[in-house]
Amino acid sequence: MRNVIRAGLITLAALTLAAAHGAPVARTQLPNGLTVIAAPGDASRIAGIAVVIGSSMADEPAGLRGARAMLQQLIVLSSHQQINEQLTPISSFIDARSSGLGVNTDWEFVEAALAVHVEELDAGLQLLAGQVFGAQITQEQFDEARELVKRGYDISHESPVQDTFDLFRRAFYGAGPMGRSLQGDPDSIDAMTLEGLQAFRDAQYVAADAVVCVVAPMSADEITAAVTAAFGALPTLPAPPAAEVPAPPPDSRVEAGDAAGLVQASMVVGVPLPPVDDPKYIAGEMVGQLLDGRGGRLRRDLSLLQALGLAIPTRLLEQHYPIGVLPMSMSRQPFLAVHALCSPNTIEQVRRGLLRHLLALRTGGVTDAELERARRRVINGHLLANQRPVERALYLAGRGLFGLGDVDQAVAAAQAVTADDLIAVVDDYFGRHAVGVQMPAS
Amino acid sequence: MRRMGLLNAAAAICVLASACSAAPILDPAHITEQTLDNGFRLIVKAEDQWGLASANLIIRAGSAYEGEGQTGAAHLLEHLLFEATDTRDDQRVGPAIESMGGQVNAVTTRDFTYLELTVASQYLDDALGLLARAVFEPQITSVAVVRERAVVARELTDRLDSAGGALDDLLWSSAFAVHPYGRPIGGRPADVADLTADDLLDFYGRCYVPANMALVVVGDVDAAALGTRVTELFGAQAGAPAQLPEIAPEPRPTDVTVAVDTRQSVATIVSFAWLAPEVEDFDEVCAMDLIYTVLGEGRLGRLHAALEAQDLAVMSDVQFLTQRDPGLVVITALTAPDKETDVRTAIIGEIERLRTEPLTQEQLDEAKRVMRISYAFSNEAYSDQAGSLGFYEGLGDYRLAIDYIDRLDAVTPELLQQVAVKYLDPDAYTLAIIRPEPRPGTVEEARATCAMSSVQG
Repeated sequence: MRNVIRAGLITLAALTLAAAHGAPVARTQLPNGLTVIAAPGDASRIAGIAVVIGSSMADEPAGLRGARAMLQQLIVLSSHQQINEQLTPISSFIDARSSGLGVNTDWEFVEAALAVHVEELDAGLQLLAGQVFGAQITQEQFDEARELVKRGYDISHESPVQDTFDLFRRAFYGAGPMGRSLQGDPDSIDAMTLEGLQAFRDAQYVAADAVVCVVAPMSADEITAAVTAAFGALPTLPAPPAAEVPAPPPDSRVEAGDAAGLVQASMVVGVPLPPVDDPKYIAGEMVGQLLDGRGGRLRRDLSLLQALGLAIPTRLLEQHYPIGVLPMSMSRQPFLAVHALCSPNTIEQVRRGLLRHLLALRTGGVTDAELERARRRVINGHLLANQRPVERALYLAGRGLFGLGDVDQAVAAAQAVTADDLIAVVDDYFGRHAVGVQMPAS
Repeated sequence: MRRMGLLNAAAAICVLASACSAAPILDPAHITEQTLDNGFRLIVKAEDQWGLASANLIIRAGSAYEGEGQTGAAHLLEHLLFEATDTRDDQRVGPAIESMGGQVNAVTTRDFTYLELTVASQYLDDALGLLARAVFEPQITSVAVVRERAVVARELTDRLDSAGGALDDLLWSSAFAVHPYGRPIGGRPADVADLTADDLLDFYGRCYVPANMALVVVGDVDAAALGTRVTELFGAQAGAPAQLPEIAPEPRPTDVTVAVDTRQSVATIVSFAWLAPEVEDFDEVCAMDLIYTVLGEGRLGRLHAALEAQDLAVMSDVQFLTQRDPGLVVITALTAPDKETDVRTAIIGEIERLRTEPLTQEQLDEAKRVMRISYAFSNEAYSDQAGSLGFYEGLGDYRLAIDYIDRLDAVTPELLQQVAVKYLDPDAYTLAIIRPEPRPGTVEEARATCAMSSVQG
């Protein structure tokens, strides 16, 4: 029997969610406010652990812009040694194991995840709880993290695609927090203090604003008990008040920049989508898949390819097509965006071509074959995001943060989408667009 | 085993009894097998969760079965199956699966070729239809061969441009004088340039027969319904025996063979290789897996302690891939040129230690525990499990994947030492070296170097 502490477990609310077949997923809230999602799965002996915290860009005040990126570096730095000491080091050739503790900072949340053998679940949970919520930050670690964030900022801004994406976000979200760089800016990072960052974490990274999901070959009760043993002692603190996120600008905007060393222009064109927790969001995903990938509308449009003004060998085109839909992220203000590389002389032609595809559903229809292809891509995309326990844990925790259910819910929603639903999304949401464009410096 | 692990003697782990007594990962109770009338084999591990299915179609058509002068035929044919079955994107297995948002890949090894895919279970029927078309209705035309030959030629050039690829080819070609394992899997560039559609049709006709194929499916599927569908898709093809060439065994080396190449580099790479147990000697395979775990390629293995921790090497690595015939167990280290001799001495020293000092039961148990965890990670997803079952089916019997942990548990310190003595001869091995500056490489030179370091006389 598992040697876990059950006495402290007080279930305030328990809800059994529809599961992706197999045993049901259980959702519980601990007394300290932590939401626990327990997903039994006995097809593997690996356990996936994910923590998602609802701290967003809007929660970073002036002077602490980039605080979450700093904390990401600190968590990675300090967890590395602990993972080596507390968990069995598995060969780097085991690509199934994520390389230690994975941490990701998004505009709307922060996530951390770990894959462990089920024998090491308790150790993995303790490690994650300690690193994400509890570890004290030393000045040395703080200084190292600051350098890493600044280096990351410089590296990302050496990439024309990243710069273009940042320009697009500024055009799409305006001057608000969602339009800023995830890494803050060098001035804010330089000005940040250890005490300020520690206080930010103590206020923002709290159990009441977090979701922990574990996927493991155990019963839901056993999983919940194990999570409680590791996370139940976290202090009971109120979730920080939700920071106000300004509405994106109502009009279409363009943000342009230039950079030395660029040969081609880089452009991102995007339109709003329904919020991720809106039932219409799945139709927005399908619009994206209608356009994307082999067989999608963007790749079938040879005139758009020619308009790029690029001479690309056929084989290279198949591997690195110069036009593609950007991945959609879970957001309350999401977008559907397309990136293209093109000749500086053809940016207006390409912009019109991309917009024509984004808006085509307003005037044209969608064939049954196209609809079915898009549906398959969305369904495969959701299910393939659940292949490994750690991926499934991240998927469920992320959806849990937005009040969404298991992958079955997404699959069922995709099954029910009609051509009219797609057209309705275009009609209701694609009324404005944003463009970020990066030109070679003249 | 298919992958590698390393030893962590210091790890303090709370082992849960419930976890140890759970059903095995590749639970035989979930697995069914079927041989169709034409000899095509189907192995299914049926699950009831996650809505996904992974399929792995194995054809015993690896590079070892190519004719002399036709190296690269297996790999080029794999390219054609993946890309050129049909001129329409939605009828070619690679593009069609990608278009529907699934995952698909094709790989050629020395022993077999496989196509693998993962899709939502509800689309598995369509995906299997594409797989069947790919292997039974290939378009092996001169035009397609010329096109894919150019693609493969670029791949070969890229591979030989990398130090790792060059070292690999140097090592395997030096270690095998007779057996076709010594040929590069992708083929020799000159051979590939001369391959014709007729060559590929010849290879296809000899190897791509139903009795030489197996399909492994793992996932959220109904095994009975899947059996019916697979019979429709793969059972109608006429049965015929595969015409695989007789392969002469590689004589066990009696001496040290040294092969040296040079690269523009500041570091030296040394790679030792010994002939390893074949899959038929599976207990010895398991013992060799434990040996590489003890040696390890990571920070707590014996090699790390002897090399990286002593500032002798920047990196060390042990590889052993189970194969149908005796393959190689390989130890590689990256070092500064002036430390090459010391590195070689240290590696041979660790080999001697394995041969002369039996592991304690505690050391062996720890190695087994690490391997058990490594095995679990190697079988984490449905695609991994289909890969494991398919890998061993490709070598002869998928059940070896199921039995693996039990067979590993049965290894004793005595067997491990016997295997070390039998296979890891410090006086008979192949040594491939890539140095930054030109230096002559001969057997005598290698001996002299090792003699100076007093490891061997």
